[in-house]
Amino acid sequence: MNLIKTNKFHWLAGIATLLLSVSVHSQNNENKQSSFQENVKEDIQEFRDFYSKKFSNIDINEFKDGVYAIDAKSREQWLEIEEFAPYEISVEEGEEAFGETFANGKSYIDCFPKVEDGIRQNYPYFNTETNQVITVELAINQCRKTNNEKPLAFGNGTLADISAYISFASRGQLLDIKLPNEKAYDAYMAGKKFFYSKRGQLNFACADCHLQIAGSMLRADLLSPALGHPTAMPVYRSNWGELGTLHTRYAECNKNVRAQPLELQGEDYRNLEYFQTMMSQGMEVNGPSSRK
Amino acid sequence: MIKNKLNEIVSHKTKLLVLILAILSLSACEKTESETSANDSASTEKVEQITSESSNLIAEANKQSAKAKEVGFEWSTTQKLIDQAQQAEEAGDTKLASELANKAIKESKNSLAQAKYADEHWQDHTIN
Ligand code: HEC
Repeated sequence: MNLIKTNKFHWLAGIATLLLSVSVHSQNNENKQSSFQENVKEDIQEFRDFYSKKFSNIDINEFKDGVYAIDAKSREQWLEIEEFAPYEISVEEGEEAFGETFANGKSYIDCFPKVEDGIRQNYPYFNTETNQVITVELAINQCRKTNNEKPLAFGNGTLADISAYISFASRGQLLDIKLPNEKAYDAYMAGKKFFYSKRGQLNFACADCHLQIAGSMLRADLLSPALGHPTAMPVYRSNWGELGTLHTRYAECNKNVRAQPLELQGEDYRNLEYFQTMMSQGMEVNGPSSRK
Repeated sequence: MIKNKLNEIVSHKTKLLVLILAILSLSACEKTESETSANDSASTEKVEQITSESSNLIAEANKQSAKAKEVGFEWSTTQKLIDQAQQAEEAGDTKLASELANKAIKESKNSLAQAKYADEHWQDHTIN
């Protein structure tokens, strides 16, 4: 009798714990949702505060100009170059390519109906169905794929031209990056981890150059703040002699520390872009641009 | 049943053995080609031994660098070392081949350690 009683008690206690844990769990989920939104908000604030403190004489919105925000000397020259911008042809070619009719009679406008109002400010976004970060460049190729067209090479050429056209049409819009769910937060955290992790034979993290010692010279280069990095993309670099995307630049920065560059538009770089763009939340889209 | 299994294992083993022998004899051929045909079998054996040591190291270097690549921390310098080791090996300079392969192994291990450090400590380096 006693035995049965204790057994029954155990059984009841078990159910009670189960119910309790289920309710705590669902509450946790809600808390989590708001807590990761809060975490990201805090991250953005701290990131901005870091640079406003470090460059206290520069308005935070100026960081959209990359290194030219902090380098008064070369800024003059850069502004002159921007007047006869070397990327203008790319924007025109990008617009033309954008107008191309696919074999099935459709075109890019079917994938990006609001291109002329500006869409770049919403990229990258997290696709909650496929659970991946979608950049503008990936979206362009996905559009081609949906319409049975061969994908374009990532990094430069026609794809970068179309990306430049999209940026150009979005100039003046403010970055508005969303964090829809916990999976998106995971992608964000993966990008954040990439940013702060030391890599390559030289053992440098993005944060070492573009955060800790931003504003210092590294050989012949002044190091730009990471705040605002994505706003001006893609860029025409005289060093490349052509237009390149954000990921082209990631690959180059990886190479500079003797780390093997990762796949352009692969998961790692897309997550990194998600983190970087989130950090620049609210800043103005001003791409394409020119760089040395 | 057991016999079948045994047979299968044995045949796997023989296949592997044949493959290894084939590779060894191929590389031995390459080595001996440049040498006079008067070479006795003893020196051929020696060459074989050295060759297999450096080629083992190259195989190990490839294995380690593949691991570093998988975690996204491969250094851009490592594959070059492996390529150079391979070239030295093909040119018959097994000493240099071993040296370079060892360097590549060391680099890969360092990049794996870097990946591990990042996993465990990246949050120590954020601004907050
Ligand atoms: C060893 C220092 C160093 C490291 C580490 C480094 N970069 Fe750079 N990066 C540079 C230099 C130099 C430039 C060119 C000058 C500039 O704009 O800062 C540059 C440029 C850039 C640009 C272009 C900015 C613009 O406005 O055109 C981006 C974006 C960028 N880096 C991102 C990154 C990311 C992300 C990482 C980490 C994967 C990284 N960098 C790692 C040195 C570095």
